[in-house]
Amino acid sequence: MTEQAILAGCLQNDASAQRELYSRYSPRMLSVCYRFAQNREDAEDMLQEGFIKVFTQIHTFQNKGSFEGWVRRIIVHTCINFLKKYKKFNENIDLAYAGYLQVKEETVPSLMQAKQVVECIRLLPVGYKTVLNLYAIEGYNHKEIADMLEIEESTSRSQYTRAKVMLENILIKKKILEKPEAEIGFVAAFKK
Amino acid sequence: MDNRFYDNEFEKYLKEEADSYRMYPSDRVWRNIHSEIHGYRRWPALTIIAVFIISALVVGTVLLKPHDEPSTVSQTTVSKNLNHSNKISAGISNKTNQEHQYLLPTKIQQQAFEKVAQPNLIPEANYLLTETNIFPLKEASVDEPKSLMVASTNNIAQKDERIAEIVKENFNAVAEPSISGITKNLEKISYPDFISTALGQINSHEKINFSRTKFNYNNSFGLNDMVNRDANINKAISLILNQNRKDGTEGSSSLARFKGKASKIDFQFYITPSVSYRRLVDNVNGELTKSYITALPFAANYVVDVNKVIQHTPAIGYEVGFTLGYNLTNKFAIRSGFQFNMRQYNINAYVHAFEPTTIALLTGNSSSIVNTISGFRNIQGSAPIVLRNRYYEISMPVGIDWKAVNKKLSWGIAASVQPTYTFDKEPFIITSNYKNYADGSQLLRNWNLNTNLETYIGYNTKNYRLQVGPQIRYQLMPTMSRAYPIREYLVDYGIKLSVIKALR
Repeated sequence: MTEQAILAGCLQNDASAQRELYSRYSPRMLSVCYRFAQNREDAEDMLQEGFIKVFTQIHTFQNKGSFEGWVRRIIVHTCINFLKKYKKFNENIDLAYAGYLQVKEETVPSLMQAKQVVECIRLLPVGYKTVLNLYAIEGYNHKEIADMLEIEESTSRSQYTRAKVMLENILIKKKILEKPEAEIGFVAAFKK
Repeated sequence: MDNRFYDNEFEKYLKEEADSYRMYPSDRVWRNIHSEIHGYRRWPALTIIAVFIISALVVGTVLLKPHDEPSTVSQTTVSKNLNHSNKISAGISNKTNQEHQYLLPTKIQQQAFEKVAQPNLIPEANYLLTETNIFPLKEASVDEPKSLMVASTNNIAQKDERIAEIVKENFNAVAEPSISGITKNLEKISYPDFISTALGQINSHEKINFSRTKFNYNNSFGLNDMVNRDANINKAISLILNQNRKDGTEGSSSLARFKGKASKIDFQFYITPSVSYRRLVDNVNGELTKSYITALPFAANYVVDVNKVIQHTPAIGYEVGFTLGYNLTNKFAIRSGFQFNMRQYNINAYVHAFEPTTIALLTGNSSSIVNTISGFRNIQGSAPIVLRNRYYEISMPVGIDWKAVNKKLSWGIAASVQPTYTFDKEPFIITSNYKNYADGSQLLRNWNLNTNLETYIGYNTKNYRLQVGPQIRYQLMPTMSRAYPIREYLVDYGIKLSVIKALR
């Protein structure tokens, strides 16, 4: 079934088309939710809420840009709204805290690298993790992030800087990244 | 951004890794999404069960005549009753006879007397005379209990004019001229002294016997309480009369799916103004009551329909309560909670001098008789009064709620079974000869079972649903115990107003 056929079916509230759309995009969208969420249950709740919005607002999709990008934006906004109910995004964590973050040694090596990276991102405090997800992975700029999270733009920048350093430390500690050369930076350090 | 190249690489790395990661949601997620978009999957069995239960309740509530207890009264029982009846009519008292029970009302309050229909037609003198009638005036002694028990207007008629004058003189001598003063002084003046003073001026012999009369009452009939109660009841009547005179009146008496996310649990609060009716069912063949009717001088051998004998009118009641509902599907919910009911109706009666009367009870294969007294008659008299039977009930409704239409506007049917506890009661019941109304509080059943059936129209908002619709509530078991042969079934017709809030 082509994407156009799926869209046409969804516009007519056809259950089979909706199921097809869901099957096609839910794995990627759940991983998005998972990076924002505290646990899998929360991620599934976010996904459920997000897809309900997708199906009920699909008539607002105007074929500008990819459909997946449209779905992804709805999912991300749903995640942010979900987090807004319970979390504050202004918290600042001391970088020294990163040294105390624990990743279970026995689980990390057995995971695929993608999952390792995702799990390391999820180890970050909520504020850091959210800003990092939005900026580094979802591609929002700091002004958009500040608007979405209702924080100052400078806060978004500082949170991102701290999040990045913290994540770097975690990745190095878990031997997912190698320690960079002193002046060269991290470029050469990425484990390929 | 002095090291933007590095930043871009790092972010690119993170994005690639994150985007390549896939997770697969559980089936629950799709089921929930599907049910949100298309509603819950229909389960015909639930609909069938709902229709079946509702139909059963409808039949049980409206159409099905309650099962009458098989007539267990044998010929010997009838004879026994006749024997009792004859004994009573002969005025024979037996203190040791365990079958003779004394039902002395203890909880008749002023509110039970709703109105005297034509107070203006009762002159004060007649009213006072009526009070004297309440107390037996005929001479009495231990050897002549019959004369004590049969106090009638005939006895009074011989001396009524003189008594009325003397009583009034004595009364006015100590009491304030106003009606309210009379009421106050009724508390101060003991009946025997008061009356005996009056009577003493007529016949000193009667005065002596009067004190003996009181002694006899205390020891053989326990009627001292009756005398005190007489004063209380008469005081209540005088208060009503007084009030009526002051007023110058004639004694007029008194979603499962709401908008948005499906909600599994909801809270309902409701109030239902209602009108209470009752249905009376006599025992199957009217055998028991017939025996009493035939005991009358006319010896009429016929069966009387109790509904044609009693004059009763409905009265306004209400119910208020709350329930918690669990929505099994989009259209079907079960709910339970607590409910308070006040139901009442009026009985047209006539004030009369207190007189002994009997209530026949069926207990298993035998019968027994309760001897009691009554100051109210069912047959027409000169002082009409409206007796109000009022019941306060708490109950725990357990029911089902089926919404045939559940959109912005909804329509549904609900029914419930309600185990009920009656915690305050003061009923008047008709005596076995249909002649008097007596206190039936001791025969009243504390636990009962009610059903209700309602249909409603609802309006759904985001978190609330407002409902309004007619309701019928029916009492499945008789108000009185099984032993009382005349069974009363209460029916309330009301308009139920509900607010339902989705909890989560």
